[in-house]
Amino acid sequence: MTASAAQGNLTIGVARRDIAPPRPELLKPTGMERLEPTRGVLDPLACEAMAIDLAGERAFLITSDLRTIDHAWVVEARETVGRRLGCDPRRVLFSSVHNHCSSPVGADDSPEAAEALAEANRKIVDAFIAACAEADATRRPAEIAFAQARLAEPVGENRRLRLSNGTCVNSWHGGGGICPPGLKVAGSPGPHSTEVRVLCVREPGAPRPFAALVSYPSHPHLWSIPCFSGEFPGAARREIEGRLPGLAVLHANATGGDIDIHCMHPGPPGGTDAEIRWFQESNRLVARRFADAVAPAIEACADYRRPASLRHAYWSSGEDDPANNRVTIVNVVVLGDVAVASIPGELFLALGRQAEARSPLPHLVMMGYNGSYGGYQPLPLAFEQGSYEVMRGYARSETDLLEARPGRRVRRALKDSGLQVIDRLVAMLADLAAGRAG
Amino acid sequence: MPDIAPLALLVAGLEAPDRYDQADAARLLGELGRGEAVGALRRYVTESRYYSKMAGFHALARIGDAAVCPTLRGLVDKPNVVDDWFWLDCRAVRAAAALALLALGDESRAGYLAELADAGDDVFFCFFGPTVLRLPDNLPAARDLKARITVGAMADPAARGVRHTDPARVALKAEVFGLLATPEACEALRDLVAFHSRYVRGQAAVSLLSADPSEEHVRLVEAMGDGDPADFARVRASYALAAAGRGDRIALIVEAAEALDDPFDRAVAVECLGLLEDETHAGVVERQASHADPYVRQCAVEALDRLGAASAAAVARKRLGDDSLRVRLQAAKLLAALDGKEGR
Repeated sequence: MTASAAQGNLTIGVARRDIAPPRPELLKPTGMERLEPTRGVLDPLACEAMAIDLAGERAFLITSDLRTIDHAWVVEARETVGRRLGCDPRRVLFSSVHNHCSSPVGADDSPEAAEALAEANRKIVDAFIAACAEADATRRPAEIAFAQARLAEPVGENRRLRLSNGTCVNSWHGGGGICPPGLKVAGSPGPHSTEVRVLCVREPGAPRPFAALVSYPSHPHLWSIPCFSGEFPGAARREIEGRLPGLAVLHANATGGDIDIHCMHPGPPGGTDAEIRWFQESNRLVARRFADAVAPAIEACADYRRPASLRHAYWSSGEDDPANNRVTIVNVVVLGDVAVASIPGELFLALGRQAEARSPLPHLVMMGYNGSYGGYQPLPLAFEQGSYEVMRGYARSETDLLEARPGRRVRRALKDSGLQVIDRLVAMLADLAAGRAG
Repeated sequence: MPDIAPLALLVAGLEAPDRYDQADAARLLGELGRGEAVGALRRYVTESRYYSKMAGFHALARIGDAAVCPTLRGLVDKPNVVDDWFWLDCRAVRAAAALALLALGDESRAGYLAELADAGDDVFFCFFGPTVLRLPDNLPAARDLKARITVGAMADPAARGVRHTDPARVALKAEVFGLLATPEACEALRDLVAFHSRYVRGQAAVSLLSADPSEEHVRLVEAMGDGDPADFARVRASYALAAAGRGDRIALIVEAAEALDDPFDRAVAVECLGLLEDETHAGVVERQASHADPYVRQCAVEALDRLGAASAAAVARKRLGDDSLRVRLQAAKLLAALDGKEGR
């Protein structure tokens, strides 16, 4: 098929599925400790899928209001989607927003909690698959454009604070950051998260897009309320969709390992009801700030194109034995001059900026927290600076585990593992840009 | 240049939009030591809900007006910040208030600090370890707390592991060892001279020579100054040597202050020149007051203040129009101090 013929064949569909746990009172969200029983689901949690087909070349992008995605879910969902929908399983790109009011665990050790957890997790995997199927079934002719927005007001800030002796402390939890007497604050050791990247999709010639993949680096954890919630990404998605009727927003985190939402203002005064009110008000505030920048950028987007090709590259390590290995997945789809990359989570923002600067393709949209696991991924210097993300030091070997708390052993980053991920991604992009892959 | 008196600019800084600008204003008001700022600082520590307000407690302690003690007692008990029980910032705010009380001669909340010590809390041993050790010995509670901080207690293997792995904590631990200055503390510092973090190595060098500038220690720090792969560590080692009387080592710091590309490392070199209080290098420092990076400029104004340089007032007046509030505040502190000296 000629390039011009292929250009007419891009079809894209999107779909959303609910992933809120069916029995929340038996579960609790993860990522920040909760001291009281879960009250319920405060606002919707969802996953979305975007199905892409260009002249028979297919791919699926999945976004989700989860903290992390189990690697086993990745395997099951991609195999099922591949089998049912006729797609190479490796062309299913996963991501989660790293939502800390999500990804349940049992509230206690009871069989009922274990059953509720299994049910909740089953619902998540089924939702991934169902969203892909619906997105595939609703594909329509499409063209794409890349947009970029700069936030005018703070949303995600660098959550590390550099002191005059060179070390760093945390600057989080709504008012954080202490500077011991005798030292002074030197500033932030890395950039704040001010840029949003968007892949817009519309029907050819339509006045408005029908879908937008929004990529923004930050931890969403405003507060550890005893509720499940879509958190900031859910609120931002609802706000943008409210302003642009007919648009489906897929929200992805990118390289937000050192970025946080909840350093934006002092936390709530105390008491669960007050905390929940504060959480909802703060969610509305940051969603408004976010939408103020992103919605106009989507609306103003005019440079729509129908790409001539869909190219793909996949790289992973550790997937043969995920229980015993550090798992790293880098999965890239290129549509024309726009690359969408599914990458591990917890990379520091400076590394994301490196990837964007080094990418041979002009537009890179990253989707983090993709079922890989390797702990925080800072620049090597951060291990010398200290603070929460690196305070236990780097892993001494691939198999070096960290006892995060009694009985819980987790993987952590090697000193240069973040750089390695970015090097790998840039090399894959170079191959794709040069036609050596995909 | 804004039409506002330097002291008023500093006081207004306590209400700046950025919490760290507020804290820096508090720090500078403490260094200034002027009683007129007590009311504003009292409001700041009472009303602010940011943990960074702990700078205000230290400032009040430095100013030395015991009339604030009732306010501080209340804030040890109810600090008006979120209780981040899973972390340490709330405890740090309470500890800062209790330490300010002790510095002002009020022992009534020393029990809170003893609780932290009993719990082996890094807030006491690391983040406030140097402050505790610098307390005057006039109060029994202060003497008791100081006695809790020993090399053995700092090395407690039962303490949370991060005291021994987090560079932020370990650098403060190195400062504590320098203040303890015992043979055991020096032994610990000799180990820390080889720590993986350049920031810990740098502090260990300074602490080691301030504790015991023996030939062996000088040789160790010389090796760091000559051969450490990190500019930061070489600068700090050179500063440690210069502070111990090795004037020949200042040249490396001067070069770093003029030539390092990394703004933070350059700022540290500028800061070191100020700490050495050798006005010979005021010209180098003055040039950095117009560096592109605001932290370099801030450190340059601070260093000119420490040097008592003839050009300091003129530079500071110019910097009152700086884009960065932190630089403006630093300049205001310098000018406010001059105002005080001139009795205006």
